[in-house]
Amino acid sequence: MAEFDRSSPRLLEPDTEDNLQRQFIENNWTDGLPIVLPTEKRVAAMLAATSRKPDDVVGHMQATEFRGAWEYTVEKVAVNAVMAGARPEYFPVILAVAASEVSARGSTSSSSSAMVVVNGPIRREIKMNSGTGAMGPYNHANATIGRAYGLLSQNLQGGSEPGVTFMGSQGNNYTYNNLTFAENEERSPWEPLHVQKGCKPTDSTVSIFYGCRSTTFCLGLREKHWREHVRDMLIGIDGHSAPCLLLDPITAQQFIDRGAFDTKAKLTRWLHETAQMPAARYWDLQLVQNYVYPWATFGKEPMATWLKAKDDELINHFPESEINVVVVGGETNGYWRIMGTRYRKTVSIDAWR
Amino acid sequence: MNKIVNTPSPDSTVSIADATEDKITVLSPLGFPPKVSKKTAAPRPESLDGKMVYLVDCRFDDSIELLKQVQGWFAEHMPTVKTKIVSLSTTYQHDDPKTWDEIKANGAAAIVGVGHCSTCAPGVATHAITLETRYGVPTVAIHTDKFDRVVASVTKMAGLPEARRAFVPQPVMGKSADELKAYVYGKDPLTGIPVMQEVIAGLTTALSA
Repeated sequence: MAEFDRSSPRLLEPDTEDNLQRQFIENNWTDGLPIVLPTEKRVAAMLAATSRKPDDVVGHMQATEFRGAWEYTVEKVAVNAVMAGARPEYFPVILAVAASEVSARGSTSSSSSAMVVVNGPIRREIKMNSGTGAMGPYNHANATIGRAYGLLSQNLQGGSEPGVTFMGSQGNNYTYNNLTFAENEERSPWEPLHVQKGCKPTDSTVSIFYGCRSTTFCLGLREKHWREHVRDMLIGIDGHSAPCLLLDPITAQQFIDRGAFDTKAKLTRWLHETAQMPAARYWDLQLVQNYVYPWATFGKEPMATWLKAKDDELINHFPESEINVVVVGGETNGYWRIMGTRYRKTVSIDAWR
Repeated sequence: MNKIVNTPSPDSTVSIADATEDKITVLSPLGFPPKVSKKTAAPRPESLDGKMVYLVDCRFDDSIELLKQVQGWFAEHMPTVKTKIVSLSTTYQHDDPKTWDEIKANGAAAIVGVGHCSTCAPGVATHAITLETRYGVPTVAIHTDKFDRVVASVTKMAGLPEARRAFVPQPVMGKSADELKAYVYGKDPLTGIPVMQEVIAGLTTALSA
């Protein structure tokens, strides 16, 4: 069990507001944008929004395997929540995100982003947006919770400094806010994501995805060739990732009208059956060679079976259990997209109230 | 770990026009780092003559292709040294005691490579330190030059900052056999020292902190 060095000072040297803003930016403690300075008064207000004690350990996080995870407390999360401009009523959500221990500032050279889906009553309590513009900069809770996730990740894991603790070759604009939004449960024809993951509808949760890079996009489902169009979109997602459908409610209803998918499970089964690639082409993908092939050679299923396929044999390369569907959007039109990203975990917000 | 900058640079562009000149106190946003336990490297043999050197493939992006060139270099320049290429049992993200046991039982030294991505460079560095400190096998890690600072921070946090390593140019992925041979037979782009000279010295010269 690792031990942690708590000798660093809790407070920084007093200075002017201008100088402190510079210090935070020059130390790579921000996302390059100005922050709300975490004064004792502001941090105390944040801490008042949870029943947890300031010294309670929330979790451990690192930029990538083998770096050595750092430890963080409720107070440390509160400091970063203040910096992001979050209001105290958002704090249980931010604590739940931090408790996931999934870094939103992973060092991967592939430049991944996290994605955060909020479910349950908390969405309305803190006025999160699940409708028009939910995935854009139009809602204070969505914006600052997502920003807090990024800031707390880089500061609580020991940095996200290009060349040392961040090696994303191109970077990723998604990471400014980490795709943080609420599922549109009210307009979804299906059960919400957190219920799929074993929670009650009345539970408030955050579900964390990681690996957002590839995205494909479409408008609606045309009567004649919708199956082929969806298949093409699935093939456009990188083969090492997993598809997460982000559906406007209009398109969610179209999947029912066109394909009779009256449950998310029926839809994900069909998506699994539809996404196919010739075996030789699949195994020649570099990321598949790096991360899937080694497991296949040691018998892990279903990859081991795929490895036995002939070159031109079609394999269903996205396991059904790894496909997810989330409903989000304001029905201004039936636009939708598939995000290549892996589901990591669902964390209770109520446990951090 | 971030370097703490205490004095703002005078050319900084950040300015808050209406900010007060009063001094205020704020909290540090940083988490708590793990305590570092100093580790001890394995003793070095005086010579590799007649001994087996394992070349450990981390299975990321054509690493094995570069190790084949390392093997070729030994055959050409140090033919008395026996070499064996082994691939990790799974991916570089996992410890591999089975492979380490084989190397400890049959090898006098190891070369692990190639650290050439954000996660495999820390992985290669960590596996090399595992071989050194838990299995007593003198080990050199080969990385690409883009990851020198990553490797330095990982070896420091792992308690063996002096862990031996050599660097070749980035990228390794997709390069021809001749291009990879030029990497191995050429100089470390960071130190200017021939790559294999660094590797042999790393395996036979005692480490000092």
